[in-house]
Amino acid sequence: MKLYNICLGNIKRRKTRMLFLALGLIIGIGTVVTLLSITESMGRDIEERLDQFGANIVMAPRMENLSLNYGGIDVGGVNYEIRELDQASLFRIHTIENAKNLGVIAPKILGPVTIMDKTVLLMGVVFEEELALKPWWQKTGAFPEADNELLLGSAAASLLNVSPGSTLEMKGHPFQVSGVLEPTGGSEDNAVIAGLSPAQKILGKQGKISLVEISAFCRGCPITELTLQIAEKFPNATVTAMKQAVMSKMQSIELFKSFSLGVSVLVITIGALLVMVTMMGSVNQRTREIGVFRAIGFRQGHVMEIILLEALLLGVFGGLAGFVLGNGVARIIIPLTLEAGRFPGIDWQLGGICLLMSAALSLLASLYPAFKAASLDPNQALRVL
Amino acid sequence: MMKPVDHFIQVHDLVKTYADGGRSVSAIDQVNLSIDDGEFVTIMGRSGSGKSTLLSMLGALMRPTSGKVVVDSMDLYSLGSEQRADFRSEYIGFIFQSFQLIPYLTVLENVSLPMAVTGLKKKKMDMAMAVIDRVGLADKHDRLPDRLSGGEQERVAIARAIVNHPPLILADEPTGNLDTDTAGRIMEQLASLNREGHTIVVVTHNPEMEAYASRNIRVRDGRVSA
Repeated sequence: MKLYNICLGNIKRRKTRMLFLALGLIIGIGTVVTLLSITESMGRDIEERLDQFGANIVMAPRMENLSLNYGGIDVGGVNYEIRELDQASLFRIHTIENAKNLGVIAPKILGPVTIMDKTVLLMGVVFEEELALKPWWQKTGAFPEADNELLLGSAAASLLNVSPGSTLEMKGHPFQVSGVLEPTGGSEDNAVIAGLSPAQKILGKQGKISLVEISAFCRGCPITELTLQIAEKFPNATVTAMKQAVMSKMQSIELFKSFSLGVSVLVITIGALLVMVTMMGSVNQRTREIGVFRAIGFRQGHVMEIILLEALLLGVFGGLAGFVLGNGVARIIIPLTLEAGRFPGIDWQLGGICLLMSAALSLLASLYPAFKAASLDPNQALRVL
Repeated sequence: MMKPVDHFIQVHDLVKTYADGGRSVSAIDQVNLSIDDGEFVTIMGRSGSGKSTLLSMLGALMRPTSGKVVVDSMDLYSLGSEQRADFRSEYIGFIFQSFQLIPYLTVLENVSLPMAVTGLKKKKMDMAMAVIDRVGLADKHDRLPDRLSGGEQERVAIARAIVNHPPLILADEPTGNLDTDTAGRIMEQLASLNREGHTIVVVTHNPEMEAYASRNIRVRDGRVSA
């Protein structure tokens, strides 16, 4: 016979009573898990939306005086004639600490070109990356698949009076127009878009890059941290975060996170108080029992050990049950409350934290009842002798 | 000069008073008595006479207002609370009125309860089973108390009291809730334990108990009258 046999006997044979004792913890932990799952789901949803939203980091050569405006967003300085980035150095982007948070990396070459006596902007892109970055692009015809095919912005197509299937000549090289973009309201409306390599050749800038658009999102770290990491690798470039869009979304998530945290703390506090009250009630109901323990020679420490061991077991059970309940509720509630919300999956690390937190809270809440139980005068407790 | 006799239990000028409203009430008033090792003593008296209070003080459960209780040369109330708990564990087996079994523990677990805090490491369960066998409940060792009759519960209480082989057994109305036949069997068991050397002190209303005891102490208005 050991002291833990007493606890196990009590828990095993008074299951309903124990369930009520653990209820405060189960509800508390369950609420925390549900709220955190909702926050996580919201974060992921926003992340996905931002990915679709396009680039949020732009890297351009370090320039002075001239500004480059692209997509209506000021991304720093550019000077077509003076400096470009070295295409061969782009691999360094993948060597940053948070490389896993990088999404699409779309390099571009920009420059003026004369077609049919009209000067237009030639933009060389890697179509695979560019189309991933701009899923909203609508076109007539098809996107280019070969090096001698072009995509035209709507304004450029009107200016040059061409349509899909037409042929254009740039610096003596013939190109076929495979598609024309619907108006986007962006800079690409005025551009003639070719593959990166042919555009570099036409512009005489082989191996050079005018700017790189990067789609990245990092919930674990601020976007500015990513830009700093990239800037470290490219000392001659200006790396700018399109912070406004990201930050406002992040702010919403942070606000909800703070709200969730506040609610969680409140619920957990109430849960702990509930455990304390029920523990006190349990101790009062077990007064005679404690009197028997003391009368047959249990020390105060032994009584405390019994009560606290029970609290620990209840805490672990409450944590586990709360974690399961929280995940279950989140799984049901997220699709109902969040548009396009998906249950983010079971976070085992959170499970571990819940277990520890629940056990610690249960112990903490039971400390006073355990002390009270241990301090009972055995004769008063028995009231029989 | 004669050497003073060393009694197993010695009670000197024992007083216990309670505050009742504004006045002080004496539950035990200047009691002196001694009990020798191996005696079977009954303490009898009317309800409220103070006999249970006396038993509590003999069992190191209730601090007297004044006076001394000395057991095996130990002044119980000069010991600290935890030392008194150790004393109870080592010296005393209690048989409580209404049995006071732990409802969620089986017969075997209830009987082995006192061994949970002793230094004994091995064969605890064997020892507990031997005692259960002795009180005739071997086939019911895995039952919970509410599945036992009153007499069986009393036997479990006796088994729990003797499992650690304490030299002193204190019983409070052990037959109070039992019919005459069952009460007789319980008294037989106590007498048998006494024959094995346990000192037994029983508080009772039951005059038939006197037949088993080697001495009877009567308590009236907090005083020992015989």
